[in-house]
Amino acid sequence: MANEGSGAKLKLISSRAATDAELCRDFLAGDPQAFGELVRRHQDLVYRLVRRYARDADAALELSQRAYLQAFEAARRTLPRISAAATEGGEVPFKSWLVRIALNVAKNQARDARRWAQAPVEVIDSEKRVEASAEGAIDKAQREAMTRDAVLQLPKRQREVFTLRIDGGLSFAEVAEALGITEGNAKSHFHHAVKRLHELVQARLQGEPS
Amino acid sequence: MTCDEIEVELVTCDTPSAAVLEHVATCERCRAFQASSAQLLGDAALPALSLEEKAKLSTLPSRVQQGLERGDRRQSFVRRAVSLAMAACLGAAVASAALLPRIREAQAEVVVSDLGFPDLELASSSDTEDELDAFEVSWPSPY
Repeated sequence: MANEGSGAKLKLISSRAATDAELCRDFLAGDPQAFGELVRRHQDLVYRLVRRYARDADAALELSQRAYLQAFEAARRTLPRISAAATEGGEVPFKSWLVRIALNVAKNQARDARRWAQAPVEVIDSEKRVEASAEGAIDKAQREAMTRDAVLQLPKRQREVFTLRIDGGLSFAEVAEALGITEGNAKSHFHHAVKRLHELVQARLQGEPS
Repeated sequence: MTCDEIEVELVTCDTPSAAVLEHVATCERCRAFQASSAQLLGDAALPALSLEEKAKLSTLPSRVQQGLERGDRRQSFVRRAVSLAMAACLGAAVASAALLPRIREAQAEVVVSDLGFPDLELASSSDTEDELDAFEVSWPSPY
């Protein structure tokens, strides 16, 4: 009965895209359709955010799954707020939760990977590197690997902004919203991140310890 | 605009303003920054998702669903185990409260009847002073 009800609601709102709040509320009421839609809606973004920190595609998928599970747990804990927001046509910050959780999960993964002396990013890019070396562009591939590794060395906030902008493809307004900062602040962090990356890559090219 | 402000605009705006472009055209430092930043951002970007990754990503909704169900099962198991443990504790507390007086009684009976001590007559306050003197030991001993 409850499923029929929420199914009917989905049909009613099918003329426009359901908000995250509506999908969250329906999912928490046990509607699997709403659940699937909610995951599909943001899965590309979540995957692209955690990908840089994962050692391969399977690990990235695992991290994405973990981020979703934590976000849904957060949604369950705030169910009354979600229901109210959905009823009043408001919005719940599901995407922001998801983005922050994904960054956190990814950061923890990077920390563990470093502890186990793994080389994240490079494996994901192996196909491209083989192709590059076949073309005799080993230098370029090495520089790319070095730069991607240097991204993981950035200070936390700079790395978050950089990842959201470059990997997630978010606008600075969206980056600011996801991180709870101003747009100007997000731009400033990004600028500093680029300058810091320059320094890190230069130091590595000159053989200095970072 | 200072060179620092120009740098910010160069890396944060998809289409820099005419004023910025004009400045860059005449400033060697900003031109070098623009070129090196473009290369750096290109190097830092990850390659596009492969077909294999896209195929794997399409399984994410079902994986998350399974993960949620596993979590729910684990939580309900933990809840049930905790309820059972609490019920057991409560039962034990009720049983011990009911049985404790009986156990005490039984222990008291054992002390009095089963240990086989000889009947002792304790000195009472009504003993005379002469009788009490007999218990005193003089010091130094006369022996």
